[in-house]
Amino acid sequence: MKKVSTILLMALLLSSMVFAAGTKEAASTGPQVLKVMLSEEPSSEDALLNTMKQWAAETGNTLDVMVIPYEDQLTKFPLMARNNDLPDLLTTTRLSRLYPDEFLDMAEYFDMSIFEPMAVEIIVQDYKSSKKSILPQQFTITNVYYNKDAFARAGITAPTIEKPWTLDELEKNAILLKEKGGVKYGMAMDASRARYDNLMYANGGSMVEKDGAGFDVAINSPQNIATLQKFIDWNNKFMPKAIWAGGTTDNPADYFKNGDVGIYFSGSWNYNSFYNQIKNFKWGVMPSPVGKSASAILGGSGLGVPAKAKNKDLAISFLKWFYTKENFQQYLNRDKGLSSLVGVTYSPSDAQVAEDYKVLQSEVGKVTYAFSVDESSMWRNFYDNEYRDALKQAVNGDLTAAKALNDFAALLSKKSGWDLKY
Amino acid sequence: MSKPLLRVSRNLGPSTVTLLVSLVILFPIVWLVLSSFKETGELFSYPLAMLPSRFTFVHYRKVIGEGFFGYVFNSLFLAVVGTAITLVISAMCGYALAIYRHEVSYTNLVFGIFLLGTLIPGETLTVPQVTVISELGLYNNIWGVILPVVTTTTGIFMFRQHYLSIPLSFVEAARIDGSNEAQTFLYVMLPLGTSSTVTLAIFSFMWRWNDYILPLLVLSDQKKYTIQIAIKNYIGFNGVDWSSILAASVMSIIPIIVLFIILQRYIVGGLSASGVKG
Amino acid sequence: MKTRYVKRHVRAFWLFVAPCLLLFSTFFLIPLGLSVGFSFTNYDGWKVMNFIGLANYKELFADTKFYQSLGRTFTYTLFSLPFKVIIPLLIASLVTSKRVAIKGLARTLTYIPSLLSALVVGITINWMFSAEYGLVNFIIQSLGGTPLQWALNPKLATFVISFASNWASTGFYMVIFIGGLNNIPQEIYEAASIDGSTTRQTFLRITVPMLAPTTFLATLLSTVNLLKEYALVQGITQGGPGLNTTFIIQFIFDKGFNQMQYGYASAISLVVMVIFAFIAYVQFKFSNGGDR
Repeated sequence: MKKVSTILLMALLLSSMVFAAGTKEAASTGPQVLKVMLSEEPSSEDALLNTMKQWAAETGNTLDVMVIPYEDQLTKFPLMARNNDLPDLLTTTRLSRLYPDEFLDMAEYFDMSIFEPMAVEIIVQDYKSSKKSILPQQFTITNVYYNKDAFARAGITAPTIEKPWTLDELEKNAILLKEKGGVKYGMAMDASRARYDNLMYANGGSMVEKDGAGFDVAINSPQNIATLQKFIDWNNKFMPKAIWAGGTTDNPADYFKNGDVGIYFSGSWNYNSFYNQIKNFKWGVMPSPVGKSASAILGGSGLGVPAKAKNKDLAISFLKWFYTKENFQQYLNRDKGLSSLVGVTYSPSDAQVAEDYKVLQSEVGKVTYAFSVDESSMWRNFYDNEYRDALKQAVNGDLTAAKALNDFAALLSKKSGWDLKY
Repeated sequence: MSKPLLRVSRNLGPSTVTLLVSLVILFPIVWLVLSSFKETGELFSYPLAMLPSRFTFVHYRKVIGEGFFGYVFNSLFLAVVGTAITLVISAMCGYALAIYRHEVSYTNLVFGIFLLGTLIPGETLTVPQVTVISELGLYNNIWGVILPVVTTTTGIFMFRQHYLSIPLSFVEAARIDGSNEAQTFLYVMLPLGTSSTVTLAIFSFMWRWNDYILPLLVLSDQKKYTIQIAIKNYIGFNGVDWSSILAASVMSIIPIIVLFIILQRYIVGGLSASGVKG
Repeated sequence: MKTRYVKRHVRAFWLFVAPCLLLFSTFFLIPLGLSVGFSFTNYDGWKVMNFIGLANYKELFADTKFYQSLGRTFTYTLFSLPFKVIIPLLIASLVTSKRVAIKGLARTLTYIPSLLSALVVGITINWMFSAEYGLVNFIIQSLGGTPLQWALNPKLATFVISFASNWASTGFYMVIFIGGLNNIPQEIYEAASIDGSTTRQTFLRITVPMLAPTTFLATLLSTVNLLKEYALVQGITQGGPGLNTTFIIQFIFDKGFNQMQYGYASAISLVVMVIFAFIAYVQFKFSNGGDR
């Protein structure tokens, strides 16, 4: 009896070991947890979150989503790295640019030609190393919204992709909108430096100019001073001055939603909230005005995998799944933005939305070479807030346009070592 | 006949002033609370209205659905434990700084060192502080969140000021009775320290309830996060989810208000707290 | 020649102070020391840390914006300080006075704003002072006046921040003053009323002097908190119009933390801390540490 039970016990032990070993193996292909770090609490319709949930359901894995606000990520990320607590996947552009060594090189896993070149250049491009530390996920662009009812009241025809406005026509119509369009402000613009820079590029100016292998400071060129001067005038005449002069935290998007703005310079990220919330008047997207050239600024965020993450293989397998045509299409349909994957586009069913989307796509071609040059100089590593402050003080009337830009040029030149062109 | 009338008119003035002051302070709060019940689009629609056109609980449901009560529990733990420790060590420290000021010549110097705690902008020390916490092995440890913040300069300050106003003769009397220093402390502290203790308890609870940066940086598990982190997470890069922030904020201040209502009588009560009768 | 008695007290002093001192040294003084170290480097928060000597300090002292920012901070603090101390004191005496009804309610109501985060205070104050659609301008217009440019006028913008700061902190200082008021023995008041002292005389000649330690506490704390005002400003004016409400902490953030220049930020913070410490020292000496 004892012998039998001993044999049985041994068999049990052995089989449990095999089973355990088997389970262990199964564990590496069974359900795993993907730790994802986002920079803000995702809404229930968030495109990325819902697509990730879809992946989790299909593959039987689980998601562990953590939210670390954008500004605190700079302190949290190093801490996580030092304590072996890195997420497996995160959305960012800044972290990968600051610490490319901490991320896997995506070029080793993906053929970069499957992505839209513009998306790669703007979102992924790192001027410090040739590494591709992230893959483009969300792709945004500056664009212009307008109040159709106000246009009708003032008797203005909206510009078309074939026939955009000049900057002079923009000014003329903004004045007209304020007088006859029944709106408080002919024009409004997000208080973001990038939005203003579009005017600068459209007028043929730039922050720096290429000088051989280096750069010259060009922010105080005559045409830039003229652009800023014009912008100050516009603020005094038909824009909500307090937004750009500072002193308020009002969001001009709210002004637009209230029907108080004729033309609103913002970006594609506002489209969804306008679509859901504006019920009192008809609105749409119009092509941005053209000065000496057209200008648009691209932005977005990418997905990166920290090199020391615990489940980096899982993260890579998620990305492989994500960037297939069918799955990315699902993501894009939820995101409703520009596509970073070649061969996948968003085709809205709503005719009006489709119209607007066409205009949005046409803006992509307007990105200027000057913008790429400026980005490659990484001037923001020297002074960033100071530029914004100079603009604020100019609009507020504390400094003239010339003084504001000359002072900033001197500052930038001193810190960067670049020569002053003007 | 005239006396009651005189009393009424004497009391009416200050009472009315108090009422007016309260209303002025209250008015914006009412707007805040009502706004948390407005639809998102209505929040900033101009002109800014007071009442919602339609009361909606959707923001509250959303915030609760996203795990709010879990965060409440974490904040509660932090607040209770942190406050308990703060009360004990601040009382001891403030007492010593006040009572021994004639025998120890450098009490003011030590006090000055503690004062440094409030003079430096807090954010400056965040990076070195988390380095220290990390090096001590307290990453992802609740004590890494509690211990760095329980030494509050204000608390030490308050207790010191309070004990400064107690005549030393009283302490002498306690000593003559043969008690050692620890016993003297308790003998002086317990009857006389109530109002400062309760005040600091209220403040400390509030501070721990509002703690943000250390829980965010030191704790690894989202489920251990506190209320303030939950609220700040609604700030997006391209827009702020004000409705959720308002709903979460309104819910988050209710426990502290309740605590205040319960405890406030202990701050005001005990008017003859000096106990120095001779 | 210290007696055993005194020696015992000295030992007790250190024992009582030990827990606070230990925690404070570990989690504040050591980081402070590290910060001093950083200030002589070009530390970027993680990877880069090269010794650069006094370069940060030289750059700071040559920056006119630093002095302008400090100047604005001092002006703002001086302007707001009287309100921050006097208003809570008055409210505290109202809500502890025997002659006032609904005391408990008033106390609680006054305390509520100090529980709100700076973010939420900001949105509330914006509602009141928005130039376009704010309540205050609405009231002014209904009374026939012209609406004021709260956001575009530097003085008005500073006033709005001051108002917000007061609204949001009165409750806190009120509670501190209530504590202080309760330390004053009742007998003194009884004696005074027997002597025929009026309310005003009692208040000015008895209450205020006896409140000295508490007033010192409240004044020093409010001074320091005003000097450090930042989160509230971000929620209301973001430093504008132009740079007119850009106070010193925002300066540190803009120049340092937001641009990954921790070394420079540490240098500025240390200089600022020394300045604040000096102000605190002056207040300390002036009121004898609140010791009566």
